[in-house]
Amino acid sequence: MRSPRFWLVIVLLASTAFILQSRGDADRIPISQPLSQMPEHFGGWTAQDVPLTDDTLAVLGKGDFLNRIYTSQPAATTSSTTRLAPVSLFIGYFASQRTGQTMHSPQNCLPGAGWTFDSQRYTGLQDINGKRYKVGEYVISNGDIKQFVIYWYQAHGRSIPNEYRAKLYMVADAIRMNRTDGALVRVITQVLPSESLDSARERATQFTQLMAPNLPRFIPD
Amino acid sequence: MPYAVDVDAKEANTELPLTSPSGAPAGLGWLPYASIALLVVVLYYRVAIKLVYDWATLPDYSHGFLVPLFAAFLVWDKRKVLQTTPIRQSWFGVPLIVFSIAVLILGVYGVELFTSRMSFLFLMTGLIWTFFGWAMVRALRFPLLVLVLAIPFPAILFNQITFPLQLLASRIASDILPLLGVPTLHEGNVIELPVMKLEVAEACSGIRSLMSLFTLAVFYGYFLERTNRRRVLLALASIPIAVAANVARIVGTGLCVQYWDPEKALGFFHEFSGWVMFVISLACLYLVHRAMQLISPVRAQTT
Repeated sequence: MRSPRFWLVIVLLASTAFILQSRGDADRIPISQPLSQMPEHFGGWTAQDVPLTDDTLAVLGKGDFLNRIYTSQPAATTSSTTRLAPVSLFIGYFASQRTGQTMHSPQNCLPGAGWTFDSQRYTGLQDINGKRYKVGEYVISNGDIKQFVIYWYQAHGRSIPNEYRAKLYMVADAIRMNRTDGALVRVITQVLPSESLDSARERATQFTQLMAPNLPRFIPD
Repeated sequence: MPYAVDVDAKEANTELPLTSPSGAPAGLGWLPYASIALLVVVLYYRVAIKLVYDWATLPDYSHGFLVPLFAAFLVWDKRKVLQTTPIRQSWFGVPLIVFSIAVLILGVYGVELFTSRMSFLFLMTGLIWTFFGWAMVRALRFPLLVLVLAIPFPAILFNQITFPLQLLASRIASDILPLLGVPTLHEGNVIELPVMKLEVAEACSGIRSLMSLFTLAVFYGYFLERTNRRRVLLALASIPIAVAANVARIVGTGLCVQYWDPEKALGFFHEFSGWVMFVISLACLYLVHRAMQLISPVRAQTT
């Protein structure tokens, strides 16, 4: 046993122990505002909170959640037909995903609630300040009801539509910055039977462009 | 909250070196082994605390407590073979040790629980290979492999498998219920009965008990079957059984809602996910096993 092999293994294990101990096991959690302070009015949109049930909160885990429906006031709009349907905004922010807390993918939640994904593509959008976001656009349907969905993962100033890439970046950022905070942002609007898909996309996109500049306060870069 | 688990996790740490065989020679021969074991404990105590905490808090991984015991039993069961296995130290294990250390550091720094947990198994294999030789790794491969069952799978991948199965179970159940006089409206995992909605909050989760069932099937197969082919078959049977048990759970609840008391049915629904599911699954496993024996009877003296 008292061989070069033994000493090599002892040195390897001991130095690893040293490397791990020097790191500690708490990550850096930057200060951010609670999501409940998200403005209730942007442009012509007015918010109404939709409380999440205790069961849902239990499934979502330890994070800060915003679930709202924004309706546009008819007076503030010129063409009322394009803005009639409300927009639902869901944000789930996790200050730390160290303890195995992970963001739930809408790819599971939406089919779980009976929705099927009709189409999906990754695209970019620019908010009203010109900041670029990489987002996923999806059309989902349930029977006759169609909805247009935009969602992406937001962490450390980076927007990623793909959940696996988001996970990879989380690991990379945990190594580089010792941070595991991140959020999921989801915007849904119904495609009204009387309107085209493009008009619903337009509504969801415009809402997202107005809302996105608020995000860094709640989801630190 | 995680601080509260320190006490029982410390106890669990004593289970860590279980996989390394105790074949120390007399005298001070145990000292090198002890120093390596001590370093392994220092490396993995945080990982182990979190793992044991998960077994205690995630209902779908409570079987994790049984797995190390089962692995220890397997080692004990093989003690005669292990005693006759020649010990040949080998340099070939060292690269595996280096690899597992790299995986551990990556897992801890990258806050990836699955990789840091898996690295423990790689390290164990590497240590056994280095100090006891490849023949010993071969002799211990099953107990080492079994330990994988105690490690929660990353949800992001696991959901890809379990989620479609969950949808399937919901669909079958909502097809069966109307035949028994319970009209249903079925949307994904959400089943609407005349008086109430089922499984709304669980819309995001698949058949999470699949891992428990799979583990159970592996244990069952090990004790009651003799060939590996049949054991694998039994383990795979746990997948349709998990679906069937879930169908039974949903149908049972639907019947209770319709013909008994909705309030009590919901309690029943949640209870059902615990021990009744377990009993039903075990019964199904037994039936599959019986069917296997009927279709292809075991030839005498197979090894």
